[in-house]
Amino acid sequence: MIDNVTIESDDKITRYLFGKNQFASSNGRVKYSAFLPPNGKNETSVFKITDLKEEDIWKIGDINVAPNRGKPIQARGDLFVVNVQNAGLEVEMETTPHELHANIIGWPDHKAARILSAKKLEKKAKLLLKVDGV
Amino acid sequence: MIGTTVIGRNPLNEEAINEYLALKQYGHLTQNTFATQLNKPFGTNDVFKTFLSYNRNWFAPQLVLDKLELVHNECASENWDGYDASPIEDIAFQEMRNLICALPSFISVPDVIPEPDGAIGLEWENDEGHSFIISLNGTNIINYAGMFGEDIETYGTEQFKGNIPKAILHNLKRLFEYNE
Repeated sequence: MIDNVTIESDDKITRYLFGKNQFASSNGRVKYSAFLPPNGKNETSVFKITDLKEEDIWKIGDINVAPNRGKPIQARGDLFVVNVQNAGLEVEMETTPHELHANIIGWPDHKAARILSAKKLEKKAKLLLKVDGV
Repeated sequence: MIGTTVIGRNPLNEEAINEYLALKQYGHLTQNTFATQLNKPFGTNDVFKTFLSYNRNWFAPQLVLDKLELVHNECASENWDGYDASPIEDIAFQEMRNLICALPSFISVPDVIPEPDGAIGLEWENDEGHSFIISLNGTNIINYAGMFGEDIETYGTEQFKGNIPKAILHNLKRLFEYNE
């Protein structure tokens, strides 16, 4: 049974990536800007993926995320909730769009401080490229 | 005469680099462009790749300007990232062009990174994994952030009036351990 209510420090989350400028496959890097919230917002959309199989993680992205974004998923960046907390941010479940959807919240108001927080997330994120057929 | 030797920081190779930088028509930097423009009978593949890697110690603005133009074109429309990102506006593009042309020569070629609020970032990283980022959005304000080791961080804001602010230069020198 999927636990979509609580989120703990050892939970794993992922950020689906749609633009090639958000990651660098040559050195396995999710770029800091991929984690920054969009203009006028203070939250970054992620999904809780603790204990999910790889194929299911990609399926959630393909079926539930990509159609709403108007672009195919190219990759994703995985990290743990504790990494977010160590960057001075938090993760909060927000299950309206999907039972496993969450947001990274607590972004500082100062743009430069946001960049620093996003860079800390980048350093802990693991890049996974989407392979055709997955 | 440039052969297939590895380009290092010596007078012969600096001659080749200066020759390239003096070209009046840069165009899009490709291996063929590089070889054709220099008109040198050498192993272009090896030399071209070495030239690019050599730029870790030699900042060539045109390489970054080419990247900047590419990013601007790819992120010129709304939602370029799939998460409702704002487009990179011409004013941000032009401001970043001006800043790149004002950067000092002791740095390496940075990564050019579009940001979802329509700003453009330049990011440098050294061999120790330390990094420094500057971000512009067309309002003459530079937002910057740096990580120079465990718990050694900085961030702040400076005005851009055409010259690189001292705080930015200081952090670039810190990253590249540049001593005048």
